[in-house]
Amino acid sequence: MRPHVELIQEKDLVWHDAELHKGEGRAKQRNLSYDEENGAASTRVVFDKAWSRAAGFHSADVEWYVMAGQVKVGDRLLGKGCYFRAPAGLCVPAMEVAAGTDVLIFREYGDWGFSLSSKNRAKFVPRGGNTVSGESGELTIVDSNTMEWLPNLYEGDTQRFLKLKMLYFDPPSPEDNNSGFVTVVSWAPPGWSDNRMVHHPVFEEAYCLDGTMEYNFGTTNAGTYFFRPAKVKHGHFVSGAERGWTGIFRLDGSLINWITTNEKVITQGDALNYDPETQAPVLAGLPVRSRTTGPWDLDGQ
Amino acid sequence: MSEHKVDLSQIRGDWHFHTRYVTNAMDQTLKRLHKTWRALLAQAPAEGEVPMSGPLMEQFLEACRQTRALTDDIRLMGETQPVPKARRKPRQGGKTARRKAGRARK
Repeated sequence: MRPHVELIQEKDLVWHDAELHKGEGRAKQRNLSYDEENGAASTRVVFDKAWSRAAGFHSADVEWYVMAGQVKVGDRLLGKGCYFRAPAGLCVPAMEVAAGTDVLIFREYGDWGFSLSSKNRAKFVPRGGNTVSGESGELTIVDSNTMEWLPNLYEGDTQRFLKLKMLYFDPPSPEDNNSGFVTVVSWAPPGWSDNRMVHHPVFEEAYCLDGTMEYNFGTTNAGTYFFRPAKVKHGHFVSGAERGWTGIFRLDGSLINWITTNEKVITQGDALNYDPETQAPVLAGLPVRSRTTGPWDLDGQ
Repeated sequence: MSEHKVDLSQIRGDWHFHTRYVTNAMDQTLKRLHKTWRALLAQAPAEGEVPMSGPLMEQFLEACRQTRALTDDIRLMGETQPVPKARRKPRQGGKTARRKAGRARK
């Protein structure tokens, strides 16, 4: 289970040695979100020195988004804004990464394990850990720089004016919204707003690449990140006046917006030996924050 | 995802509210686009040319893509613009018509 992280600035976090096993070179990572049960994680990785690794397969579904530098996957050269994804067990060609390269690496449904191999783990490799598809998994490589922004059909009319570039889409089962997987780059244009509170049946995760947005958990700008488990309310959005807000989103299923208005939280109890005005207990379930984002003012709780 | 008819009433605000949002978003994005283009012209590697690659050109190309994306919203607002209510014709033989007719006889 990943904890509710909302909102952190990744610059506040410590560096660890990067979990890039069977590779040669030196890299460090910041853990944005970590599932200590199955090893899934979302990390920012910076390569201090050139790094390389022979072909093989991961234990987890793995996604890379390049924020700066160069990554070579087989004979494909990926620069800023490029993305690749490999489901667990699929053979990934040999990789080379230039010194100074800066990437986001997301692992899902597994840990950092990597096996050197020139072929897949099994005859049939599923599309992902949450897929309902009977099709074989494949290597996805996308250059978001050359993609057009599309209307946000995905979230329907309620957040119609958001724009997106689909990096990866594994459709859910018609019977189960909590299946499949989605990774998109989303842009909230300047002045975009939504004054309501929303929650979804699936988890939602985002890393801000550019711009700013005010919302109930604070101000999100470049380097801020959240991992929001399913059914956590969020909203009261106003995007930046000049550039809007751009970030990479991941969802473990189909996004449905359930809307709440006039929300309020009522807690009751008799204070026996403390002052309820100044010494009242906080509610359990507060999300992980970091120094820069500071305490949550409980807006939208 | 679906291709049903867009129902903007699912978001707060009326058609004018959304139109003002679209206008402002386009205005801000165009300002950034022009600013970046002027910066490219200022970096002209030779007369009548702008740099064909580099971070500034990437910013410009992205601003162009965003501008084009916002044209989808202009189309959307055009398609969802409420039709103004037609003025009702005065009824034949109504009070006003009878008064007018009476005045004409005098």
